[in-house]
Amino acid sequence: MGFKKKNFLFIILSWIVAAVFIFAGAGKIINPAQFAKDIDNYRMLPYLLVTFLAVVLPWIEVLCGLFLIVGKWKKGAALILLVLSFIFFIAMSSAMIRGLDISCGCFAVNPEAIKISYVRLFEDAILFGVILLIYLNLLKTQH
Amino acid sequence: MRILSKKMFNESILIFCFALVFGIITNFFHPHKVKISFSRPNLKFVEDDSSLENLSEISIISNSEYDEILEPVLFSKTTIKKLIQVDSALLIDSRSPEEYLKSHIPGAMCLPYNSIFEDKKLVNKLPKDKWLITYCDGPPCDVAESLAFELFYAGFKKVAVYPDGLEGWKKDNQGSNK
Repeated sequence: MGFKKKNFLFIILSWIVAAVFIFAGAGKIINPAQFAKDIDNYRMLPYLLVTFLAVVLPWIEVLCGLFLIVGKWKKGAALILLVLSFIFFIAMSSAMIRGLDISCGCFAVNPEAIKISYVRLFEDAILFGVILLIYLNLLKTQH
Repeated sequence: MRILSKKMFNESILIFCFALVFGIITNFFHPHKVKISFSRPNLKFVEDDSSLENLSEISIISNSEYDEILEPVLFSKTTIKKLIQVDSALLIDSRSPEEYLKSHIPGAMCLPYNSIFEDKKLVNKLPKDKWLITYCDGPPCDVAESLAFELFYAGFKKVAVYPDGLEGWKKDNQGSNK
């Protein structure tokens, strides 16, 4: 694959990832109470941290998405998204091992419809893989 | 190729700071903001005059179509009695078997909080079509609340707590077994 074609592919991938996180973050900004509940349902964090994350995390997702599209601070944004999707994978795995029947908190559209499952886990693993590819490509191409 | 550089780290910190500022500002003006707090908000009490039909669809709705939060609710004795009359509730004693044998609310089953972690089959045997109402000795009733949440997270959506517990039940001449 030529350099231009490869770059074009990574730009498209970045935009797709950005769109996913902007969409996910926006839904949570509209509905912060539901998102706090979703985080709390994992029962991994003290309530103070739950409320703090419910306020900050959606904006991190939206800003990282926007920065990926705009092209500024791309590496920082990709790094944050990489860490977020990894933590999310661990949290979801832990909830599944504990047999929790909860909403994954991925998108705040219809919490009942997006429950944690192997499919969600697989989707997150793919998302993590794509972000990792973008991140490694950014490290190679930008100095 | 460096996996992590100072520049990248600084960018991440800046994005986090922006998110923090935006988050705090929007939350401050949000009509249904998240209250930054050390402790979880208390469960909501269901009004005694709620009709039985409505009880099956109880959700805590706080003035917004977006703010629907499902979680265990609190039932008063009046509501519990109404549900028991139509065989739509199962009382669950969350205390130890010894305490249960000593005294319990008539018709209640014994399901100590710790036992559901030891034997998950116990939870699977519970009816999904009835309200599961947990109780313990009396206010405060933390064990009953914890058990209610465990049942809720195990997939039961009709879960409630009787916060007054065995003591509250006994007070109004309802008596208890033994």
